[in-house]
Amino acid sequence: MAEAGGRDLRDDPAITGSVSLLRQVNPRKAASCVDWSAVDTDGNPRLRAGAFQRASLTAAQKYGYPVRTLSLFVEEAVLGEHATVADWAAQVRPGWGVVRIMAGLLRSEGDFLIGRDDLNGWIGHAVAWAGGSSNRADGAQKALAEHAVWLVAPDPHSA
Amino acid sequence: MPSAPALYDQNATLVRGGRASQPTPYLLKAEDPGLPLELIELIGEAEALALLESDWDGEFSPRIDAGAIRRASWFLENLQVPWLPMVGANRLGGVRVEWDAGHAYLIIDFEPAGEAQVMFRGVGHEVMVWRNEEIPGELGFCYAEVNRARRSG
Repeated sequence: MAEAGGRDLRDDPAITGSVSLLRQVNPRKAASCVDWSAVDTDGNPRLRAGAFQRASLTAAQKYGYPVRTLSLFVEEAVLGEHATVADWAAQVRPGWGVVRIMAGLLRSEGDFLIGRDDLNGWIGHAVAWAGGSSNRADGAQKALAEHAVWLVAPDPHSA
Repeated sequence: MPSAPALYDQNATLVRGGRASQPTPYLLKAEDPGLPLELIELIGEAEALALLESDWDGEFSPRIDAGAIRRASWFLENLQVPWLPMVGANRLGGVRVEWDAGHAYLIIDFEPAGEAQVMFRGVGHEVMVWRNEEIPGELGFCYAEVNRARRSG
C-alpha cells in the first residue's frame, strides 16, 4: 500500500491477471508513444515503449497519487457505460488510440500493483504503480508495448 | 563487418561533461556540410520539443527540460552511426532517443537535472536498465547488437 499526498493506493486482488485494461495512446509523434513510420494494414502505428512510461512524480501528485503511476481503465467497466470502446474513446479523447493490455502482464513484466479508483468520476479508471523497483517498472515498457493490442487506431491527423 | 563507432565521447558522458552542457548552435550546425540532412532534421526534432507546453500529454507532464534537450542534441550531433534513432519527449520532461528493432532495442532518456537512463535489450536477453553512473562509458556494443537484430530481420 502506498499512502501520502492524499490518495490511498491499494492493490486490488479483484484485478486478476485475466482482467482486461485499456490504455489511451497519445498519437503525436513527439510523445514517443507510436511510430508512424511503421503502420499495419488496419492503420495502427507500431506502439512504442513510451506508451507505457509512468507519469512523473510531480504529475502523479497533481492527481493526488503519492507515487508515479500509469493511468488505465478497466475495459469491463467502460463497456458498462459505453456501447463500444471506440465510442468511449471518441468521447474522452478524440484522435487518441486505445490499446488493451492484460493485468497479468503488468504484474508479471513490471511487478506493477493495480487499483481501480474511478478518478474524477471517470468510470473504470485505474492506476498501476511499481510494486517492486522503479527499474523493473521502467524496464517493462517495451514488453508491454509489444503485447498490447490495438482496439482503436489513433488518428494520423492528430500526429 | 566494421565495428560500430562509439556513441559518445568517453570524456563527455551522457550525464555530465563540458561539451554536453553547452548550448547547441543548431543553426550553425545546420550549415555544417559534415552533418547529413537526416541528422540535422533529427536534431531539429529534438530542439522542437522545447515548444511543448507543460501538460503536453494531457496528464500534467512537465515541459521538456532545456538542459535535457541540449544534451540530447549534442549526443545526436556526435552520432556516427548509419541507422538513426527516433527522437521524442518522455513524460519526465526529458528527451527520449530510441533504436527499436523489435525484440532488441536501445532507449536513452536524457532527463532533467542532468540525469539519464538507458534501457537495452539484446536478442534473447533480459532488459538492462542503467541510471546515471551505472550507464556504461561506451554504448556502441548496445547499438551494434540492436542493429544486428534489425538487419537479420
